Amino acid sequence: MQYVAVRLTSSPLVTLGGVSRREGNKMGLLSILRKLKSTPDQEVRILLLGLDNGGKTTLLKQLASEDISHITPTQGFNIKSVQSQGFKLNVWDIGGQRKIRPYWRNYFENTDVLIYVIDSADRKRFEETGQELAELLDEEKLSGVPVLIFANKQDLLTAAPASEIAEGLNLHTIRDRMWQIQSCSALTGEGIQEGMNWVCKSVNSKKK
Amino acid sequence: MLGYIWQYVYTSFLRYWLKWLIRQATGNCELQRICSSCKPGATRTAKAEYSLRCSKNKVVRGALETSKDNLEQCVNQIMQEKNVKSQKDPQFKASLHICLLQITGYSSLYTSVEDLRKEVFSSDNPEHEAMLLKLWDLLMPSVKLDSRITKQWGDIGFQGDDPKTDFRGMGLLGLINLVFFSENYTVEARQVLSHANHPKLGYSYAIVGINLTEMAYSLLKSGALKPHFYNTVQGTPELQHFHQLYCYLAYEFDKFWVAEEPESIMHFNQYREKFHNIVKAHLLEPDVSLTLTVSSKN
Repeated sequence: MQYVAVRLTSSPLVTLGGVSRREGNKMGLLSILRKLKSTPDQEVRILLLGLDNGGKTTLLKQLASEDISHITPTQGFNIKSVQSQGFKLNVWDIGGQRKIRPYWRNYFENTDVLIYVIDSADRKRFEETGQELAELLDEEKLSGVPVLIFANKQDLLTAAPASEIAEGLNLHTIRDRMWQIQSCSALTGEGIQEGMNWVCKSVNSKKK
Repeated sequence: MLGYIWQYVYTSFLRYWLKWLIRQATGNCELQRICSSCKPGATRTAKAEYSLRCSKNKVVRGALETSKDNLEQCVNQIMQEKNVKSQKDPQFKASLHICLLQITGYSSLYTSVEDLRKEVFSSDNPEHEAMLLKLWDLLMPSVKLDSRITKQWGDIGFQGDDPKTDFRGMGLLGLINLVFFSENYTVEARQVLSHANHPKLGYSYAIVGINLTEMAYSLLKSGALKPHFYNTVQGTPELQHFHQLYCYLAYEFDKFWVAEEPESIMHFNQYREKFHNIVKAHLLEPDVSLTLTVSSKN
């Protein structure tokens, strides 16, 4: 506290930058600021895919701490940037309707992490969602990209547990990338933080 | 900063002194002056609303929260408080009454719309189911549905084989708007649907409709639709007026989309935002009236 006061009174404002460069090792207020500035958040491109009505947009809005009560089906895509653990997560939420699934591939390039969202209560479409996921994992542009599977809608009584979904989708046969399944409820927010922690961890270990 | 200070001084002192001065000079209170100098509609009602809201008098401010049935009595009270004589200003009573019907009607319209939005579409409710089937019949009169759960729903722009999951945050409100448009503007609705089913320029008719319901709902909620309703409804705005506004949006958005020729449906949100800004700009015009006018060369 005293140190800062002396600095400010003894040197005029314009020369402060020079002063702190010389004495940077003392970690004055300015050098701390400069250090923060010199490591801007690393940008991460996250692709959010899954069948329609899986909860992708609700998840996206939860991540951005936005109101989730007026959501409508996604025509096209939504994108939001969220700060998390020193990362700037650019999350692309692409509509899941069958008609626009052919457009998914336009968004594959440079993807760091794939998040695949499943409606755990929609058992009738487990087969369809499994097929779409399998096709995604076969995509060349997504090869090696870590995949997080959100077993969403766990707030519903009829929701299948994540372990059952993992077995149904044969996740244990995935050998070519990191993967994780996380049960969650985009509605209540439960499980989302855990999932995102895994996302940040997998980005870190990939970059090393 | 100076602006803030000026605003503070103006709203807390100057405005009252000015009002008092003019009142002494003209013998008319502010509400009277508004009603006589502005033509009926958004300008008059918006000014009256501001005047009522800023009033120090509890009776006058209370008028904004009065129910429709007590409004007449409320107008009499205001006239008494403000010492307005019917003989000297015979139109004042009716004018103020209409203003108050519009102002209080707007909030009650929001309540009704919100109730419909919160009502979740349920397959167990025969009324909901009947409405959904009616939508199909209105849009596709020559095609029969194979079954209740079918891929055919995609032909009118639902996402999957059961539309119930598409209403989401807009609830029954989304469906009612779709049915209202198809029922009251059948030719136009089918024309819009045919554009939506265009192989290259197409979009999903029903879910874009639900999305536009969200636009109408947010505009209503934020108060942005006040000038529109004050101009077009000389009394209490009802649900049907809200559905009419949806029809305007659905018809105009289609025209906009076709004219813009977007590259693909993936750019929907970008064009939606552009259209949204156009609508918001219209709503800033004092004479705004967002009513569907059908062009003759259909």
